[in-house]
Amino acid sequence: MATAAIQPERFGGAGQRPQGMALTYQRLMLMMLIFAGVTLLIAGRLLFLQLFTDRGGAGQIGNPLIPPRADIVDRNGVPLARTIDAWSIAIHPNRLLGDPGELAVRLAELMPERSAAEYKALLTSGKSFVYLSRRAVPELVMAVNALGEPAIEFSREPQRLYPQTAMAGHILGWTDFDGRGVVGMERVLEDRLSDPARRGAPVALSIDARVQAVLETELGAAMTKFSAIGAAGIVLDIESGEVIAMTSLPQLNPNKPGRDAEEAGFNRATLGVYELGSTFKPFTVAMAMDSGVIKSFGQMYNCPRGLAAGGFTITDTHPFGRACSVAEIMKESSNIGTAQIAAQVGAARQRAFLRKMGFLEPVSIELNERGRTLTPGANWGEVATMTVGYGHGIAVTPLHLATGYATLFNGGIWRPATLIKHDGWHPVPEGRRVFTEETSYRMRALLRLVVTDGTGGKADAPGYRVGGKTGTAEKIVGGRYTGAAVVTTFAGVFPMDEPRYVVVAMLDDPKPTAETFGFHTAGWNVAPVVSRVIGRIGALLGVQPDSTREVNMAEVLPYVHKED
Amino acid sequence: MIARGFKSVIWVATIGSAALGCYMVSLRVATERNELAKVERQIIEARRDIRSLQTELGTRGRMTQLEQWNAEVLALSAPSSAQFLKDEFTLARLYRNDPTVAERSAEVRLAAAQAPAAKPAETARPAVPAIVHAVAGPPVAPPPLVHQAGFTTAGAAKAKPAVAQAAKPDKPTPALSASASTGKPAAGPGRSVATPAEPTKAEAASARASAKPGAKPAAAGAKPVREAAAASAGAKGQGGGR
Repeated sequence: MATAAIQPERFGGAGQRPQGMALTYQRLMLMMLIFAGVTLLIAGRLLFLQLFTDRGGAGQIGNPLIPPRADIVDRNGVPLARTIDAWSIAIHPNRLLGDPGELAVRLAELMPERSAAEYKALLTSGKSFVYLSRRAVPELVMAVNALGEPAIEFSREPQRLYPQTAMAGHILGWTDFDGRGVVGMERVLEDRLSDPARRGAPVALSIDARVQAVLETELGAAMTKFSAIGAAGIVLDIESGEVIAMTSLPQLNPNKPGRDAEEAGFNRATLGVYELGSTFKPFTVAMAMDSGVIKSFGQMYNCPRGLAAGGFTITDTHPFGRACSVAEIMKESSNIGTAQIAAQVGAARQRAFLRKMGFLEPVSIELNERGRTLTPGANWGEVATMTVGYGHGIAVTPLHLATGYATLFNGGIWRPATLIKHDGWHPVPEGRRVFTEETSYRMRALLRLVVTDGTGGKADAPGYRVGGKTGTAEKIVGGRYTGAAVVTTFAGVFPMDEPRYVVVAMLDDPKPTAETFGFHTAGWNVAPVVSRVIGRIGALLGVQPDSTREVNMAEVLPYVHKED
Repeated sequence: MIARGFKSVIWVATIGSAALGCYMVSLRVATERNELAKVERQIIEARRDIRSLQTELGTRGRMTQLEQWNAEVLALSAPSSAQFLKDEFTLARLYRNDPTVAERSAEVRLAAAQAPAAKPAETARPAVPAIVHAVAGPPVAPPPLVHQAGFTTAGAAKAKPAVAQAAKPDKPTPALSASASTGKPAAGPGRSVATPAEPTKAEAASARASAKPGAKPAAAGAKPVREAAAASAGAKGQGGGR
């Protein structure tokens, strides 16, 4: 078009000159506008970049603070699992410059996990890359660096650290080599912990580190004292079902999984199922009260020295040999009396109650390590009903027992146990009603009686109004019950006049000692653990000890025959 | 003409200096921005350090470690239920006024003699208001308020305070503590008790002492909670004024 416009000017006359000038100015103006436009565009773009790239840059700088995997903290914010940049020491054996024999000796001195011979074999293997140590402390890194071997490589890698070491190891679980959770809450929360959008904020568990430490210490001490092969303990919030502490001994250290004994990996609290014995009796009594079988704790049952049931005879450790009231049956933990109550309740109702309490299925908790309960199943006849009534013939986890007691004393509503702290995002579930509120209320006095007057006397913590039930169950060894090996359990609730927490402690195969006068029943070995635990954690959990408060015992005390 | 010739030069100079000024400003801004980024990086570095130090501290001071130190060195134990107090009156109950030498010398005997028979004491101190004796033990014929206080001691806590006094000689007897309380507001805690001769002080104290009788049986270990509570409620106004 430009050339076409120039043509007439070149050949045109003078009359056309002003017109040509105007055209030139127009073109110049056009060019100027284009230049100005482009300049403006560039300036605008610059301004835009100036204004809006700044924030993007700041955001990128903020990123390094977000850990590659979210922290796990306890309910008060104490870190339980963190990801740190740890030093790792590796070696390229194929690029080795120094003498392998000499280096192997020096390495064995610094890192005695492996012998000099093993290091020698490793160094002469000709591999291209081998880790010598992961999560090495800086001192070790400096010492190895001082060896001056160029084939040794140091690098920083994110690694999962559990600052409380073995504490709550079974709950937390651990991660594999690539930082993915394989066991425990690390596995359950895998998506949440590794989600880039949410991993900046820590995940709060329902665990209270202080309570957990107390429980583990006291149970560990008892386990050592009575030479038990294992132990489990649970502290559960009665209203919300939050697990405040849960432990299984022997412990395992998630910082170095696999190096503990094989046995330690087994979570007795949620995976192990045990016949928990007499701790079941309160359930039987509550069922009977709800079904209208028991109307008063003064109701009498004939308690002979032995009760024939099916092919065997039920016996008592403290035989009455007379008629006894429900209060006395509970106080002295009479199998014979409870079996009769259970028989009156009947198999169908007993099963229905146990199902509603979740005793017939794996325990309700986030963990994947949950054991299947063992029940009479198809053989749930009258004899099975009687034995289940006093906790034999049915095997559940200690956590089942804890949720059962929570159900029994929180007003009769079953709620699943949880390891996640309840807050706005995790409201307390509605739950389902199992027992009536009245039954729940009346059971308080009965279980308090067990501690004030009965078998659980050593579980009392002064001022905390502990109520609970002992349980000593014989273990099945080689297909038959044996008196030699027992599982002792104590399920306690405090404060009994206004129940707030359930404490369950269990010892697996405790041996009698001189201090217990040759007994290995729950009242002697595991009840004192509960007493000490409650004495230490009560105030931490906000329960103020008060020796002037007591449960209303008017409903049970009149029905207890006192031998003078 | 010359101005017109230089016009373009002036324009160029103006624009050049303006551009230079703008460039200087932007350079300055860039420098500041770099500084800011550096500080931010330092902050992040510091936060990382804080985090790693916190982790290290938490790991070194882990619960099991603390427990072990406690077992080996400190030997601290959880507070027992008796160490938790419900209110300030329970706390005040723990206060024990250790008698001075002068207090110990004569008055103790006098108090011990008072318990079975109050009559001699009454004659010995005619000027002192009867309220003080009401605290001491079985009263003579006192005014109505005192009568009520005497009733508390004799009725509900009859056996217990008496036994407590007999069993625990280190505990100040009611008479002693009563006289101590009369002496305190008037002359200070260090003052001797033996001031029955100064009737003015005793009188001045009598108003305060009237609040005490109720509280004292409670302090002596008397069980009845309601009475102690009533007494403490009565004493509350008194305590607030002090």
